[in-house]
Amino acid sequence: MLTFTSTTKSYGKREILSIPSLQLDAGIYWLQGANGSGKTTLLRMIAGLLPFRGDIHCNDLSQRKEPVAYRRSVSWADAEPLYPDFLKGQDLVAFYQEVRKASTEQVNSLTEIFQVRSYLAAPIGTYSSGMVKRLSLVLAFIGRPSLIMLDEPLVTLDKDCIPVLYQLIGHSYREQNTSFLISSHQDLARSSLPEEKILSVHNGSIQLLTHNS
Amino acid sequence: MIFRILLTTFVRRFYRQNAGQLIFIFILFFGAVGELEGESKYTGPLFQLHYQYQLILGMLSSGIFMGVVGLAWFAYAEKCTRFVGAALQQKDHTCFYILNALPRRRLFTLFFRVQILLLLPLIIYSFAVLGVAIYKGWFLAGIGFIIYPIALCAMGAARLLYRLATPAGPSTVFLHPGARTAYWKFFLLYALRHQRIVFAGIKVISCGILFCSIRTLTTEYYDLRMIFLLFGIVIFGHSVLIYRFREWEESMLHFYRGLPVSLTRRLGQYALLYAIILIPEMIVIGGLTPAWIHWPDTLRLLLSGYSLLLLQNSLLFIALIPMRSFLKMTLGLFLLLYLAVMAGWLAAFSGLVLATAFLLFYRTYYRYNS
Repeated sequence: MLTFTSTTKSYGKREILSIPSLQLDAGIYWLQGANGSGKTTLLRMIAGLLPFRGDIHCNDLSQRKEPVAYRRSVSWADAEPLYPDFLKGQDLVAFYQEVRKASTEQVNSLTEIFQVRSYLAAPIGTYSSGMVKRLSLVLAFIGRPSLIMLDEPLVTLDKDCIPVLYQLIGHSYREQNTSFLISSHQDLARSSLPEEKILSVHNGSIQLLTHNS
Repeated sequence: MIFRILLTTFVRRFYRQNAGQLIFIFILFFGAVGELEGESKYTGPLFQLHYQYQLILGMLSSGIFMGVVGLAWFAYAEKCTRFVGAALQQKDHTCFYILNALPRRRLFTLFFRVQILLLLPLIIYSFAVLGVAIYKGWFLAGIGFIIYPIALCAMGAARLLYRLATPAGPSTVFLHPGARTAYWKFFLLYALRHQRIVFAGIKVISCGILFCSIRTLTTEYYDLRMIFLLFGIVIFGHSVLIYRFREWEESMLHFYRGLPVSLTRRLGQYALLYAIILIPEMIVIGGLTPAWIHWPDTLRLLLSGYSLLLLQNSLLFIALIPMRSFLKMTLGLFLLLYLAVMAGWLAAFSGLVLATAFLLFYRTYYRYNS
């Protein structure tokens, strides 16, 4: 599903990540690592938000050679999402729907699942951080990406919403074969997620640790 | 101690962020005024003094002129107050709400001193106006010109006091972008919502300069070089807006880079945005064509401006360098424009600039570190 080829990321002279070669099969991955280990950097690289040396393939689509098709196959939700305060949630949802060519049925279903409909017509500047988080999760699921990356998805999320998110992850994985890379400092309810695998980011390299079948 | 913190946080930051605009206005008032050979009995610095003296006389004697100056000063004071107000609402400045614990009178004095420093250029100029007014015996008008900026400072301080006590939530969007929205619209909404004063100021100055300068052309005297250069200055006045767009895009719209949009379509969004930004200038020049300026020159003028806007935008995709460095870079571009105008290569220069803007965008878009 995801292949890294001679992938390195540096900030100035400091090398943050070095992944000579790594292949990850479809699945649900819990990305672990200490603060500053490069988890978010890795996710942003995969999402196509940061430049790096080497290449990353998602389902044989090269980020370097097929940037549009690659970006269609991955999606991402930020740990602390920031959106223009004067835009309304519905504007961003419509924008994502158009860019990702998603169906209205899917968008309606997602806004229903994450219970954001009641406030989508209000400017984002009036949302609480939890409401912005829900919106970012809706946006991440829009379209039919093969891989969805969620950076700290549980932060600021209501307790009621967490099982809903787990359910959607499980459903997307089983029904649409969507893979997930989830970075979280909080303990994920591993029993709620099927076939979760643990990826560790340590000293600039990545290691696949365990399976939880 | 508190005042020193406010000074560093608001005053220094304001002047640092707006250095480009202030220099631009200074050049407009002091640098761009040239003496016509044999037309004036004053030369060098004396000419500048005489020019400013005449300008102040105009302010004091014409009600309309005085009104325009009053409005411009009000707009500047509004910009200063909004700057501090917006900074107070930023997440990293929430600590300032502790100031609410201070006595209201002391807090008002602190904000008043901040406002005085922000409006210092106006206050200094108002003393020059007062001097001329006393010299001419127009005491009332002179005193009015001193009281007015001080009153603006007091009003601003009172508003900041209110803002600190009752942090306002963002209001509804000024212009609804519609259900299906395009990326370029986000920037226009941002300009209308958060950069209204900068945007309006640039457009008023830009259109005013264009209108006045093109109207000087006659069939006997049809030398476009000065107009191209003045328009170049105006276009470089847009640098602040372009920089703010990119800065804002980096913080609020960084998700766009991860969306499945082709580079050509992305470039198209910026190309459309800057074409729309230039609409007021297009209307002004179009209205004066062909009576005052010929169509080919109109097209050359607009192409030069448009290509420079796009190039400035593309330059900020190499890296989001500090504004000061960016302004230095645009100054370098202006020098190149100057040489091109003087050599009569403007059309070739514009083509080259446009090609460089496109090339830079294609080469750098996915390669910069946000």
